[in-house]
Amino acid sequence: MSLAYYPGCSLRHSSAELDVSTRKVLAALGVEYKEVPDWTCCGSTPAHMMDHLLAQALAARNLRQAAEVGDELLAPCPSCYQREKNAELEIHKSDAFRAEVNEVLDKPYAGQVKVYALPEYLIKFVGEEKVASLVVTDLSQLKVVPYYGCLLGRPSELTGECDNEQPMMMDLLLQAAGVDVKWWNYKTECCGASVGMPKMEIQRRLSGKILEQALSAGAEAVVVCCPLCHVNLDLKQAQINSFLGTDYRVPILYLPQVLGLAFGMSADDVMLSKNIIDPEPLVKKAIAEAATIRAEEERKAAEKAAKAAAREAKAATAEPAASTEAAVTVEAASTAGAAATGATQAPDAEVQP
Amino acid sequence: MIRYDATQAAFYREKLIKRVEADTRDCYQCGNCSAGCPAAFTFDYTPNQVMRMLQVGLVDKVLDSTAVQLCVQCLTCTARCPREIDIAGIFEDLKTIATAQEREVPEYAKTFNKAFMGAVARFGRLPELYMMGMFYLGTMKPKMAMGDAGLAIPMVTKGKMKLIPRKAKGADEVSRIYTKTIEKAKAREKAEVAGLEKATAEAAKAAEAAKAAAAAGKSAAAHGVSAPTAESEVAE
Repeated sequence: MSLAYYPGCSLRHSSAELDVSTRKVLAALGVEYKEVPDWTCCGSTPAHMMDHLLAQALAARNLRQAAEVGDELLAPCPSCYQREKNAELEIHKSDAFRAEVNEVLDKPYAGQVKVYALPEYLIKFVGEEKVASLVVTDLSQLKVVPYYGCLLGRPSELTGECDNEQPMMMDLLLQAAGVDVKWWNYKTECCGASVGMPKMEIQRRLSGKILEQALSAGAEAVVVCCPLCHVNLDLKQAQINSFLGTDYRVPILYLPQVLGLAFGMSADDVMLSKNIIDPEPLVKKAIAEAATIRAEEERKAAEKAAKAAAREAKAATAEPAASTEAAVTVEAASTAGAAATGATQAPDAEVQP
Repeated sequence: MIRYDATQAAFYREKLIKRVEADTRDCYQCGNCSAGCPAAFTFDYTPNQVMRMLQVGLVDKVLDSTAVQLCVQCLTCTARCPREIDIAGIFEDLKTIATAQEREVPEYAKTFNKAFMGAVARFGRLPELYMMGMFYLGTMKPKMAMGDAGLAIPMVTKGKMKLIPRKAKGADEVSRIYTKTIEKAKAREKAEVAGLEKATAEAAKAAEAAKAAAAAGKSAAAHGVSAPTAESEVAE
């Protein structure tokens, strides 16, 4: 059974970096997939605000197309995921509703396709161990907060998350990738969604609050999965600043971009250049800091090893002399260096290499 | 003076139970939905007020409110409702009812939906730039368009937007789904509204008869708790 991949409209152009990095991360993790043949728009925001049957039928058309590939559908865009998942649940539950939907489709949908979001799929079918085993780049100094938005966390019965207010799947994946994940309370606050277009004030205020909370949690970047959240936080960050009088410059990364970087992919591989607030300096700084810290730790470890070796050597030379000459001063020992004879008295004394 | 309408309340209560599996009568006005709502600061009525208005039948006011149209569908209210009412589901359904009744709703909601779905029905997949163009044309507010025009520059230079949309293979089917479902919804709503009007007229007649009976001196029994169909007036 193979996995069907539904990119959705946003991933073709405005969030090409999410599409490309997702495909590369899936390949690195050994997940095989095939794109849904002739997929169309899931209906997104407006369809379910206009008519219920319209929304479910548009989504069902894609489920039908996905059934040609297999019984599992991965939709990296959380908005597509919610629409497709909603249709899946209602259609699979009721044959009467399936018939109603099929009435407006050109060809009926008869399958049993199950829909997954990206973090959900990775947690359930790949696992944190596998993610951790592929890490080659140290991102321990990359301080981030995972931002789930509305669609990955709510309702938890649908998304499979542990809690409506504190979902964990992105946290777990980022931790597995070795990233410094900060705890915060804005994981599932709304960014303003598409209402930002007709009523921009909603988007400016809500997204501004998220950036403020991310910074005060100690994060330097926000990790998202949703292209619309990305637009509101990244592309519109300048507009937020001019509306609120702030001067935020917070890079907004996609989850698979971070995973790809941890797996050793380059900035070009995960298309960091497509992000509006350039995340590259931050990523470079974090990697360099991690390298400095690692070098420092290595230096300390080498020092410790040298000390231990010196002690052993001293102990070896001191053994025969121990019975005769016990009262050798500490000064004499330190000036004499590693080869001092009376070091038995002070086994913890600092020895300069 | 606010005119409560028991017929409307009962009608929409049944409708919402059927369509969203949510009963407006379950609401006991704790206000949790409004406390958590991220967009309520722009609403004319807060979510709990909307729930109360549905309970007493002020449905026309609700359908024309900015609250229903500015709801971002983040589902926070639904997740936090102690009575487990799918409030966001109710708001979503009210939006679809307003669409089916072809109401002139506030806040360019109709313009946005039409620009978006029109573009999807034509091309099968959403051409973002085309959709934005159609939306701002629809609003007839050049100032609004100018506010977002600056966004197009980085989008185009970063290769995040295609200038010329192309038609996807399934576009014709999408277009047919759009036309069929919207026509169906309009027809259904028309029939239902006709039924509601009839029921309202009957209720008015019954109320009139009750009043006449009361005037005839047949005690106060017909006045207060007479029947759920009777229209009662409550001073604010």
